[in-house]
Amino acid sequence: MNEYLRIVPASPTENAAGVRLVNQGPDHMASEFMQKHGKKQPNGATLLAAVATLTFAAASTAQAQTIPADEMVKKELAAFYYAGKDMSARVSMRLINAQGNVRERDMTMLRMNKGDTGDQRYMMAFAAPADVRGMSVLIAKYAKADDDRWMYFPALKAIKRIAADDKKSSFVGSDFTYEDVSGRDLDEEQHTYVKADEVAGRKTYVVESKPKGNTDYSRRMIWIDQERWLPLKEEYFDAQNKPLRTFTADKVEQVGGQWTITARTMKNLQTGHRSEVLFKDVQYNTGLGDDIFTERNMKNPGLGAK
Amino acid sequence: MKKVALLALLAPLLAHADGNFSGYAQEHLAYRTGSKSACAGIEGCSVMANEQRLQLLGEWQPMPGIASTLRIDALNDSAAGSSTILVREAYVDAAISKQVAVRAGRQVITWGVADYLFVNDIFPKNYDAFFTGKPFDHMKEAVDAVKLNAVTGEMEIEFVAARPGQDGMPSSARFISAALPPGMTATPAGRHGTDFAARIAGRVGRWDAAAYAARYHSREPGLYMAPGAGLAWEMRPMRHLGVSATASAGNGVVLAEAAYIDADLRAGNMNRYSFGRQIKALAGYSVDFGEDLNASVQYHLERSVDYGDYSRSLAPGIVPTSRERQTLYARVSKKLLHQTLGVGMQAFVAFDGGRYLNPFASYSIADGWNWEVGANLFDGTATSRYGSMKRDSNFYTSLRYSF
Repeated sequence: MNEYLRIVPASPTENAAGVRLVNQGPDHMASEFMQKHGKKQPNGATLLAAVATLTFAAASTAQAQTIPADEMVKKELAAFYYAGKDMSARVSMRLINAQGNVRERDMTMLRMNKGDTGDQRYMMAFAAPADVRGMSVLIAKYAKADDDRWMYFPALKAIKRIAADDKKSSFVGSDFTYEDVSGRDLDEEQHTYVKADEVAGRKTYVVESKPKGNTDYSRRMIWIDQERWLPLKEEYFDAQNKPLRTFTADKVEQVGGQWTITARTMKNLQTGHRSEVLFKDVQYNTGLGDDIFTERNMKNPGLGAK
Repeated sequence: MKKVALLALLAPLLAHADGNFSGYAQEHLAYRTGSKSACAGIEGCSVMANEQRLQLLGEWQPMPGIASTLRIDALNDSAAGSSTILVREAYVDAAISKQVAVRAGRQVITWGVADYLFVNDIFPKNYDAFFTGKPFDHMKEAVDAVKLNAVTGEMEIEFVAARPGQDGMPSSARFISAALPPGMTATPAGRHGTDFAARIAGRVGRWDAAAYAARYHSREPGLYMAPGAGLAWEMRPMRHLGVSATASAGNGVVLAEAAYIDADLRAGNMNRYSFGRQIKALAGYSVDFGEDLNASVQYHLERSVDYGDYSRSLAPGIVPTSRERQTLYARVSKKLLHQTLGVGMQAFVAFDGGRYLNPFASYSIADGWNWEVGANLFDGTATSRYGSMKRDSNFYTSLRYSF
C-alpha cells in the first residue's frame, strides 16, 4: 500500500469527482460558470445569455488593470497557495543538474487552511528516494509570524523542531525554497503593476515584486493569469539584477473546481540546475482536520488517517 | 553461518510478502589514528571497525488501524570478531480509537529535544556506534516495550512499560578505554524488573513543552566492588522527573531541558561519572543562516545534589569528579550541491579538561547511495572522560546503498 493511501484514504465520491474534472477544457469552464449561477443545462437562450455574460467578463478583464498590484498578488497567493479548504497530492520532483543527471523525490503533500486567518498546516511525507523514505515534515505557517517546522526521523523515532531560513533554504535540494513551496506574505514584498502580457495564449498581468527583507533575490516579475489568478511564469533576479531563477507553470488543470498547476519547473539560470515538479492525484476539500497534522501522524501516518 | 543462511532465506520471503519493503547494505570502517602500541592486545587495534551490514525493513498494514514493522540487521564485524543477526525492531501498532494507539514489541523510543547531550531521553543509546562514526541512525537502541499513546486536543500522553535495556557501551574489543585492567573480570549485570516511563507533551503558546517521569534502571552498567565477590556490574534503579521546551526564534530554534534524577548508590561504586542524586540541565540554540548553513550550540550541566553520598560511595582509589560537570557543544554544518554534499564539524568541550572533535562530510553519490567520512578525535587530561579516550581517536568512512 503506498504512503499516500496510508495517509489519506480518499472518499471514493470526492475522488471520483476530482478525476472527472481533470483535463476538461473551455466547455467545462462554461458549464461550471452556469452551475455557479444556478443554471443546469444551457439551451439556446441561456447560451446567448452566457455568451453575453462572458463578453461582459472579458470586457471587465480588459479594464481590470486598474486593480491595484497588491490586490493582484493577493488573488494570486490565494489561488496558488490557498485553493480550497484543504488539498492533498502526490508530488514527484525531478532534480536535474546541468550535466543532465537526475535525482528524484516523491512525497505526499497535505495542506489545510486554518479558516480565513491565513494560517496553514502542511505535511509532507517522503516515499523516495530510499534513504529518506519515511521521513516527514510538518510546517505550521502563520500569516503574522515566523513558521514552525518539525521533521521526523524514522530510524530514531524522533521528531525535532528544525531551524530553516524560509527565504533562502532549498526545499529538499531543489531549486525551490521553502517559501516557494508554502508561499509568501503579501506585505513581505512591494508590488508594482508593469503591463499586460500573454503567456501561452493566456492573458496575464505582469507585476514586479521587490522583497522588503533579505532574500536570495532582489526582485521578481510575475505573470498572473487574469482569469484564474495563477502565476504562469516568474523571473527572479539576483542582487546584481542578473536573471537568477525562472518559474514556469507547465500544465494547468481544473481539479475539484480549482485551477491547479499540476506541472511546474523552477530553473536556476546561473547553474543550469532545474527542478521539475508534478502534482498527481490532487484532491481538494477532503475534510483534512487538525488531527492529521499531528506528531503522531508524522510518526505513523497510517494510524492517524481519517 | 546458520544466521546468514536464515537471512538469505528470509530476504526473498519478505520481498514477496504484501507490504512495503526497504533496507540498505552498508560497509563501515574505522581506523585508529594514534599509536598502535597501546592496543596490541585487543582485536580492533589498528582497524577498530570493519563492519558489513545488511538491513531489511518490512512494513505491513493488514487492515485499517493495524500495522506491523520488522527491521532485521545481519552484520559481520571482522575487527571486533562478531557476526550476528539482530532483530532491531519488531512491533505491532494498533489504533484503538482516533485518540488512543498502542505499539507493542521491540521498538526505538526517543524523548527530549537536545542533540547528543541527553537529559530526558532515558532510552538506550549506542555509544560504540557513535564513537566509531557510524551513521546517526545507529545512535539509538531498541527496547522491548508496550507504549500507549493518547492524544487529546493539542496534548499527547505516552506511557511506556519496558524490559530494562542497556546502552551499547564502547566495546572493549576496540576501545582501549573500555577495557578492564588485565586479569580483572566482572560479574555481568542481570536485567530484572520493569521500567515505567511517562511523557506528557503539548503546545504552550508557540512552545512545545513536555514533562517526563520515569522509574527505570540505569542504561549504563555501573561497576562496583561486591563485598567478597569481586567486581560486578549492576543496573541501578533510577527515578527521573524532567521537563523540556522548545520554540522557534527567528530563523532558529531555542531549546531547554532539565531533570532531577535519583539513583541508588552502592558502596564500592567505581563509576565516577554516576552521581547518586543529581540535576541535569541543558540550554541550546540552533540557527539557519540561509543557503543551507546551520549552526547550533548547547550547554549541558550535571550537578550532584548530595555530593557527600556520592564521594563516600566510591571504591577506594577511585578519584571523584567535581560536583559539577559542564559540557559545551557546538556544531556547524553546510550543505552544498543541492544538498548532496554536507560538510561540518561538531565539538564537545567538557569543563573537566576533555575535548571531542568530530569533523564530518557526507556525499550522496546518487539517489540511494551515500558516502560518509569523518574523524572522532579525543583529547584532554587523562582523568577526563574524553581525555581518557585519547588513544581511541579514529577516522571512519561508510558507504551505504539504500533500496
